[in-house]
Amino acid sequence: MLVELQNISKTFGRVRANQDISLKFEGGHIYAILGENGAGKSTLMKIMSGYQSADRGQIVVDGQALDLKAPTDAIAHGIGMLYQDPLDFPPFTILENFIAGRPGGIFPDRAAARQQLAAITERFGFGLDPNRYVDTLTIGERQQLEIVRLLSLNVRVLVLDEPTTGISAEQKTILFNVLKALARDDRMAIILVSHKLEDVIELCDLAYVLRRGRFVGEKTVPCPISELVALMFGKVVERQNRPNVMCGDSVLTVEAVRIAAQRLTVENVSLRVCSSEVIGLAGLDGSGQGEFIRACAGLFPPQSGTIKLNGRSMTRASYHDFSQAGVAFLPAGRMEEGLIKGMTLTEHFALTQRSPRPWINWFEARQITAERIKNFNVKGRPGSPIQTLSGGNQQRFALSLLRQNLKVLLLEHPTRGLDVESANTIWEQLLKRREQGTAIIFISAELDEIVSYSDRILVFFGGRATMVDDPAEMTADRLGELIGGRE
Amino acid sequence: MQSTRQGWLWNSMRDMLPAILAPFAGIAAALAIIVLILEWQGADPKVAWDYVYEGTLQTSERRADLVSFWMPLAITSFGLVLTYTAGLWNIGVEGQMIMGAIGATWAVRLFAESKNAPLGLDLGRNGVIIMCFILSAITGGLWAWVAAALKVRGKVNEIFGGVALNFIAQTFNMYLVSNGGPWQPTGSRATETARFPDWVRLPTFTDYRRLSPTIIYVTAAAFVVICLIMYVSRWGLQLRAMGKNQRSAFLLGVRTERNVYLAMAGCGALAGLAGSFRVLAPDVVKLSASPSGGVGFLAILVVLLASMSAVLTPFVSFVFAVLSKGGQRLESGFQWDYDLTLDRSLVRVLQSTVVLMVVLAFGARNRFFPPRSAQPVQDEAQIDRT
Amino acid sequence: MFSGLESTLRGIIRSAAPIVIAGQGELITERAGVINLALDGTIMLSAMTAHVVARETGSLPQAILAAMLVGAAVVFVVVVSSIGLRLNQVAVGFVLTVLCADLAIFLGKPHFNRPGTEIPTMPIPLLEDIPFFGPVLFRHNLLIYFSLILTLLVWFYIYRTRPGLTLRSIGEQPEAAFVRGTPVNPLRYAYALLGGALVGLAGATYSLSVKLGWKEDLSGEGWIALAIVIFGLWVPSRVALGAYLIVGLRSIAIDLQDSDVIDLPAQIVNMLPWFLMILTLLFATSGALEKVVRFTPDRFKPAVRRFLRAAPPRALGTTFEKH
Repeated sequence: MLVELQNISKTFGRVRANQDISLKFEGGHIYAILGENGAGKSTLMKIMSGYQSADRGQIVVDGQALDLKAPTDAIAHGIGMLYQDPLDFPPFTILENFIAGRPGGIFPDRAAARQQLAAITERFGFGLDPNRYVDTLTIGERQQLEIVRLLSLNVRVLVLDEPTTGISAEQKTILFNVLKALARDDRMAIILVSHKLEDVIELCDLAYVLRRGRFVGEKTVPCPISELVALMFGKVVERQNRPNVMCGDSVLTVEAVRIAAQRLTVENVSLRVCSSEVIGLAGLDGSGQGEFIRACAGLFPPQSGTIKLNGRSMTRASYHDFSQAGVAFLPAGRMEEGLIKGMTLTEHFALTQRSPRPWINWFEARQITAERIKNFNVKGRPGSPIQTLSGGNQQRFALSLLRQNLKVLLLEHPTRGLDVESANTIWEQLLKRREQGTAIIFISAELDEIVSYSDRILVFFGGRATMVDDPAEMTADRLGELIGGRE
Repeated sequence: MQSTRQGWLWNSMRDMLPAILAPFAGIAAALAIIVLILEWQGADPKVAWDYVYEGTLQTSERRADLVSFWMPLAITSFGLVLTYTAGLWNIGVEGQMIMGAIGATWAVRLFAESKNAPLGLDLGRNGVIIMCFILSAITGGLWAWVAAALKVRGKVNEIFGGVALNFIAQTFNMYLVSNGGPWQPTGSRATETARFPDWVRLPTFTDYRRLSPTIIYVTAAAFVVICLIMYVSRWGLQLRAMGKNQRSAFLLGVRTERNVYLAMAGCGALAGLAGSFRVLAPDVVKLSASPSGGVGFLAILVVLLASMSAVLTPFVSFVFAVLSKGGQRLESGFQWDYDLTLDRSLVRVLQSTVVLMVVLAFGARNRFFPPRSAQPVQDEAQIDRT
Repeated sequence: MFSGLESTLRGIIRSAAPIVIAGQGELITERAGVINLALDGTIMLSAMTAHVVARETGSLPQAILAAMLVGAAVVFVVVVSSIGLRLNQVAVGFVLTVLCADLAIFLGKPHFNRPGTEIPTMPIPLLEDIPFFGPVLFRHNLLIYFSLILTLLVWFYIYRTRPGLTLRSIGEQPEAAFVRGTPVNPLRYAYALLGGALVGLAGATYSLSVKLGWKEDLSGEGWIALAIVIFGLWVPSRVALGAYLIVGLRSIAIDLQDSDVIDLPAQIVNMLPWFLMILTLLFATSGALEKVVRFTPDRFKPAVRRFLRAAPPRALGTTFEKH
């Protein structure tokens, strides 16, 4: 079996998610599609599995071009996809999940389905009791169920989107053994979409790397992890020498926090931040940095450990207590969590201004908004609805809303999706705030950004964090190893 | 140069026209349906309108009755503006009105009917009336507070909670005034309380004995307060932000849970006041089996039609009041003059048809002619979600 | 003719029939992910329609069909505006329930309080002679029989057939259903219409069998049916149980009221469905369910779980769009 993607392109609005990508997958091998968040790998796989259609290009299976209109078309041609969040029905039993979507008459043949399920689960040593309800299963077991279901539909190409996120070590071992067996014995093509370099090195034969929507190269695995990192992140600028900040008063002290999220537990992370310090949180998406930064904003109460602000305990404090105490948080989803679609810039400004007066002086609000727009270089008018601004302008405006003299500023992906120029102006503003004494903690998927702006870097891997405070260690190689989970 | 100017004009027309036409299209469609029904029933639409006019606006007595119906409807709509702006479907407003009516009656029993007065206070007429208003606002507000608590604490959708609380309030009201209920006068078979003592009735106009100026003052004050909240205050802006995106509003510093409680309680208090208007009205002065008379649900229609605009609600509620009151004259007029059975519920059909058609028209406009000037800019940040 | 208990039970089965039918109809609609809040008005409008058509044409099948069409038409507006126009299902449903109730009162005015046509009772031979059960269960008309077997049919359909599994899947996780090749939106239309038709049938059951003729006091029955669907947590057997429980208590309360002993029970019974609904919702959404399971001994966990597990369809009231 040979699957070829030929010149796949896909755009959303003015953004090119995939540009002219051509890849080849052969039966009997395990492939990795690597790339950071936003590199376009999910889009590509959705196109391949019939969930989305490409703007240009085609999918060819054994020399025959396919026209995939729906995921079932892809399955009919032997391409099955395992989604990151298992697309199943939690309140149903395993057997019902197995039957749903299978061809057959009005009355499902439960006995036959049970047998088929048992045959496949037995072969791979999955312990799936057909009568159990799916909402009592772990993510790993739900994945096993989906794999069993796809295999029973005679899938020849299995695409797995981040399958190792949120599953236990034993389950990962079982999963990898199964995938190896499928490639070796059944000559299936396995495609692992991941940004976990560990897994890729352990499992795959060949890695295709995407960056910013383009195919940038392939590597035969195993290979040194740093080569993969280099491909994924491109050329990482060398850190310029600059004076270390004098760690003055510590503003934020996080001690041994444990945060239990749905998919992963952040364990025993400590951090002391002093004023005017910039801390970069690095790590592959979903390694715990998101939960950590939200815990620092009061949005995710830690299970244990303490968070102190200027010596005052804030461990159980609410988001509003944090923001009252001088902590601001800028989320990554600008239009989902950050700004309000349908409201104008002036309205945003008026909404966020703290004032003892219960009323709003709209005339004044408009005037100050106009000033901010000018000072922060936002392209837009005070009366424009926020969604009509471009991403960079939205972000600059969101920054302009934050009050002066913050103690701590927390940012998720402050420059994601922005062009270089916009990103630079955002950082200019951030560094200005730093000069006023604000400590900045930010998450970024761009190693460049992390290396060039951070005083210290906290690298997350699988819920654990490693501090890099020696500038000499802030190189792509060293960080790449930490990000990939190598000490 | 000229072509770009024309292009600009064309673009703004493209956005403006559907927005302006949508409500008119909806209203026209609804009117057309009603005219068809009238023709089918053999009634002349012109005559029908004449009866409605005659029954509500022609004489000053009629106008006074109209105002007496309009005020509770308007003040309830003002309250609903708060919740609907914040994205809260306060369907429980009917029950909040009933609880307000019960609260007002309770105040009369506590402070005015000596045999029931454990407090033995002598507040005088104005004192008792003020207590009526206060108690009705508190009971109505508390009833809404329960729905808010169910939503915030128990994650029970305010619609389901509201429907349940409506029926519980209604049944409780029935219990009070029906056979052997504690508030039914002994020996009476009517499902209502006794008429309130003469000396606690609301002051009336000398010419119009069925209309009290007090309720006009209270409603006007409520209108001013709601307009201040919605257009000038920070809190009104917070409610609007919550209605558009509760999560963003929270992260931008709005205390969303507290505002859910406050908006609901505020709406409940105004609905409660409306309930007190209904029982204290000079031609009623008693708690009946159905003190709200469907005014709460009618107010929901008003707010939906006014698309939550505070300044529009008085007008829309006025039109709805004209239709509601006009229905009686419409029915009797056709009955006597034309020997034609035409139930007054026709005007209520018209009210809900207008709302349905306007809502559908706006839906069609947003779906098929989305305003381009308000289109989101797509950028890379959105890729992750697609 | 019947002893006291017999006639009470027989009466309960008769008067619960429309609530059972409407409840199962709404259950089907909601299981597909659509909230039909217009239940109450729909029942009134279809009851009036059935009554009028039966009087005018003298044909009962036509009357029943007309009522079902009315029910389907109302829910059609809800689905078109939600799937087609992306409007809020609740807003449209609410306006429609008010509209339909008033339309029923207006159009039904000339036929108000006129003698209604009744569906003839069809005792089932042999079975009707069984002592006690015969009169209680087997001396009814076709619509009542239908209400008795409908619960079983719905249960069988959604839990034992493949299309039923698909129905549950589109209300639970439309995305996952789509990936499995299910045409989500067309099926939502179909099931919403089916549910609406059943609600219409419930209206016909009122005017042709339970409360003969057309009266305006039907208002409220639809809301009770809605509450019972929630109380039953979208499980057919529990919805039926809830309907019989509420109607049973109601008839007992009315009996007590007639005997002039006390009046209090009637009011408490009237409040009961609403308290039950709120408590059930609180229980289901607040995580109390999980706590109960956690504190049961391991041996009984599966059984307790199976009994308690039920939750609103997760995609209820949302629209599905392929990304």
